Amino acid sequence: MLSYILRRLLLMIPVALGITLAVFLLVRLIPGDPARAILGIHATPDLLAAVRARLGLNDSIVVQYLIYLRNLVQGDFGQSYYYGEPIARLVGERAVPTLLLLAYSTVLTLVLAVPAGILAATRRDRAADHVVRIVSTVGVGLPPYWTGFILILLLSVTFKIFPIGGYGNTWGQRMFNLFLPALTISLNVAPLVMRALRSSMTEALGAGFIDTARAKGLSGWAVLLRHALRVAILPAIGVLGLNIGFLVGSTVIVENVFSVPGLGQLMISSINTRDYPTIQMVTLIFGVIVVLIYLATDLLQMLLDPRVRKAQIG
Amino acid sequence: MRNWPRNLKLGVGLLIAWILLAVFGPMLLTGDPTTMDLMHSLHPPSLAFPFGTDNLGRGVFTRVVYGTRLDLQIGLFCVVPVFIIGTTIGIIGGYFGGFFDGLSMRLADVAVAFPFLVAVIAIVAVLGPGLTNMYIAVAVVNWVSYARITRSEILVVKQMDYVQAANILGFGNTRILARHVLPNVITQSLIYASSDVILAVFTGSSLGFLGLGAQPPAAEWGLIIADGYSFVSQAPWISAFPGLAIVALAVSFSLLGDGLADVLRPELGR
Amino acid sequence: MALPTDPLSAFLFSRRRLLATTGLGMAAATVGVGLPRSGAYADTPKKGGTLTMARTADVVSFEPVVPTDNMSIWAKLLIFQLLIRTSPGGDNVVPDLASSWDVSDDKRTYTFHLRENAAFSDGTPVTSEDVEFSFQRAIYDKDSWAASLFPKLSMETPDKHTIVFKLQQDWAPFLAAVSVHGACIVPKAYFNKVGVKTFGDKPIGSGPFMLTEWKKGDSCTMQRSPHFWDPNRPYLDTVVLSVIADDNVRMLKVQSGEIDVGTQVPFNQIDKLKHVSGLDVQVATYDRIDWFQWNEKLPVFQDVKIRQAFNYAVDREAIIKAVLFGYGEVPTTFLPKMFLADTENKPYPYDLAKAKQLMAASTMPNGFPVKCKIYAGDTIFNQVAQIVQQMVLPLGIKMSIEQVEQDTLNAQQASADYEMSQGYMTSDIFDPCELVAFAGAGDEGTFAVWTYYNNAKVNTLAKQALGELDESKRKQIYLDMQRQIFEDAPFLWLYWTPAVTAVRDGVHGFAVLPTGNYWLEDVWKS
Repeated sequence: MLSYILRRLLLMIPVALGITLAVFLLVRLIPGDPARAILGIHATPDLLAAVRARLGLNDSIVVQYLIYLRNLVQGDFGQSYYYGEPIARLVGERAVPTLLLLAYSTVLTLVLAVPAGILAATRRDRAADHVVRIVSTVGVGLPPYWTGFILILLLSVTFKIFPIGGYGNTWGQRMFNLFLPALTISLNVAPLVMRALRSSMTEALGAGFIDTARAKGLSGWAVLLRHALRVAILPAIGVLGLNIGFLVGSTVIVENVFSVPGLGQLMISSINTRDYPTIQMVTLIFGVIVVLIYLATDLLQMLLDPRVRKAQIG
Repeated sequence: MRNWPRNLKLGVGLLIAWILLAVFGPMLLTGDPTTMDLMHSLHPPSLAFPFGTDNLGRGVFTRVVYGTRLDLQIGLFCVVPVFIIGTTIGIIGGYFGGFFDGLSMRLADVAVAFPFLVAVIAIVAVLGPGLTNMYIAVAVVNWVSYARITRSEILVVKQMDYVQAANILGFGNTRILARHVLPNVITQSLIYASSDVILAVFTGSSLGFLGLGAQPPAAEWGLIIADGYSFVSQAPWISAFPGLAIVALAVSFSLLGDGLADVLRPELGR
Repeated sequence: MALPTDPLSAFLFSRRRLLATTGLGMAAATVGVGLPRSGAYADTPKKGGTLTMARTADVVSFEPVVPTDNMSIWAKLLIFQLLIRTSPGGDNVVPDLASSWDVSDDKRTYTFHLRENAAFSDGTPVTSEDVEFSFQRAIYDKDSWAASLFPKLSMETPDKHTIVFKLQQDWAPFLAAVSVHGACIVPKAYFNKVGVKTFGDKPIGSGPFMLTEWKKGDSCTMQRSPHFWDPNRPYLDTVVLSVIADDNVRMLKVQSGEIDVGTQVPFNQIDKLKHVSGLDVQVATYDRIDWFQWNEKLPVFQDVKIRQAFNYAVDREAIIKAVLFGYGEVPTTFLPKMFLADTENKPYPYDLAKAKQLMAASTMPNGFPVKCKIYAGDTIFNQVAQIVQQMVLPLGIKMSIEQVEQDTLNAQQASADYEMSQGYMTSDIFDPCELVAFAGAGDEGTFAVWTYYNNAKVNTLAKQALGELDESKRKQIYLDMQRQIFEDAPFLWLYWTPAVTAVRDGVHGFAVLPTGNYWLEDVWKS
């Protein structure tokens, strides 16, 4: 078990290096002098010299990359010349709302998808199944910035239940304020999970061990929840994990729609202010978040399913 | 065609309808999507303006119809190049293996580590806003999906008897690839492409919405939605209708994709 | 002209209380000093409470001399004092740190008497030495842009509470110059100890409030200064300036009561918000004018006919109606609607025939393409640019729009790296001399906002006005100068706009002043 986790972590090293290299090269795509591009109008001869030294622009590109890596490892993420603050602090502050929003929308996705999936699987090809399938087909097609608009129109402007945006100061406020943003994201992702659950559940319900459980006299719901769902949820989690990139991408949009002060909003505002070091860092953080979630999904699947556990260790 | 599943028939029908709308729709309209009429701003939907007007007095209906052209173009330009590039890389890598395969798959690992939209936004941020740069950004990131799909398919096909046989018979690689391998591996990519169009339109309109894609006064659905945001309580129709258009387009392609999957890959089942 | 508010007769208009509009600008004076008013709000001010004010952007720095962005200027005026400041009526100066001043008969010697109990928020008394130090910086620091407002002069500090300015030339707008925000009074000892950079982050002033927390990009929190010279004010314990860039969010938060004051109400929401209970929408004139400008280093824009053709081809009334929802006025001069502005002149009428005629007679009778740069994210200008783009099309002018981040665009303007661009200005003092030097005269440091418009007659008149001590003669000089600039059309003038603020009921004494800032020491909550 431990050795498997270790091996997974080792496998992550080349990917992690690749991510940093991609992000490192990103700013080098800007035509002209990167130091000048980074500083923009803040460029004074002193600052230009300082940034050139920091980036090692006079060295070969390999050395520059190594300098970049060294700075990263030392926790030196550079300076935002727009905010005049260390990027590490900026990104640290902004990561909390984004992670909260991600967790929130994951939970909401499961809350929406699991009952719908069970319903569709147990009432296969009946009215409920068709309704769930139609709703999910439409759901996948909802662009998040528009869903956000409609939710604001309905629940904030017309019925004034939820705030139109913002984050809040207490955790209670945050959970309340982030409900619509999280719902917007999960309306997009839940249908995918629901579909996966529907087919895996159908399969599980047809499997032998369910009949055995039924024969043992367990009630319908107990069988459904204890046995069928436990097996069927795995592919659903897999689908959720595979779509995590999509989910994270949606947070960028949704944070801008609902004015959530997270990484996505920081990214877009940094683009508007041409704050390249910050764009670079946020991109890197998003990459790291996704890779870590992939890893977590793998481990979770392994924990939940003894078969997978065995297959992967053995 | 009669044996096509219902969702495929519907999907193909809708797709044809969209193309007709994009090609002929603007010709049937008298209005221009960018001409303003400040005397008729923020009109609610009426006979003269079926989807109402925006704050600059432009008919939202006209803009949405013209938007069909631009957004279908986005779908096309985002998907076709990566389909060709990705499939080619996947075939070469999968069939020949070796250094090229290793390199392309390591690149792919890195590319998928970034959320798709984040990667596209980051590249556009560096290259500058606009549709052309967005197409470049999408190509840089999205070839991976096609390469991976094709590669895994080809690894299976390569082991099949008839390919092995062709190899033994001494057919050239090109001929084997073109005659035997390609037709078999391409289906999965095709199915994926039809759902990828949805992602492309989402991406294009999201970037338009964020001010990084199509630039005003272009009639692009995401951009129209962004225009209407300031008027959410006064004139919700500005943003509502282009959004419905995106949903409708997405549903059409998702029916098409499901239908294609049913026909081309019946073994997957439903 | 039909306007929701006519700034001349009612300085400050509000939905439910039309403040006593007795004289020109007097209504706001009443608000400004927070005197008891008739009606439901005639209670005596109550102490305590927190005022949360939402603004669109954060402070860049609290350093007094360098920043020129309004968010920094308006915030720093809450924690610093000036010697004297612009009156709420926008046509004179009133006491601030100096409780009174004497002017010699030849108007060459100005003696200011400081409040004896004035102290910085750390408790150190304010002395004339601090004042001298602050003016040294405002006038002579290499980063100060305010230097051109001052004549050649020397300063003397005969005692701790007196400072004397001895001018070496006649200088009509001297009092106005003294009231410029760059001349905020800073504590010399502390400033020299920490240096300019730290001071910009951790300022100490003698104003009503002191900065206690600054979360960059998010909010500035200020507490009442325990050492403010007036023991009764400020009434508020705390002021929070929070940054909410999104218009919809800012307005919804003021509606829900989460914030007390929402600045920059978007024009399309004014009428709607007027009907929201618990809210007061204040529409106040302030010294601002918006325009498009051209780079006259390009030959095409040296042709006055082309510049005039633009001005005739654009229907400003239609723009004001469609984009500003009526909350704007067509300018009759290059200045904001302020003291000594030429408001009697006729604006450029919308006259396409005349515009075409001018184009036909110009150096480019068949039109030309032009790239127009606007601030990224400025939704108002985005619309205006699209409208103008269409309105000049009949002249054969093909305008393309490029969005550029604000700081970058300002820098590009300053290095003449543009063809046509968005611009605006607000005044920091009541006298027009600042803006004349900034946008009219071509021989000052800003080259008429980098249009490189340069008319020798205008330059001469501008210089003359500075030294003209006779008020009516000076008025005539400025009038002649404004007529000349208006005819030369170095800008495509668009509109004068008011400052529109949404204020919760229960917030008393809040008003936006002509210089755009607000005196929060007079504000109290019930």
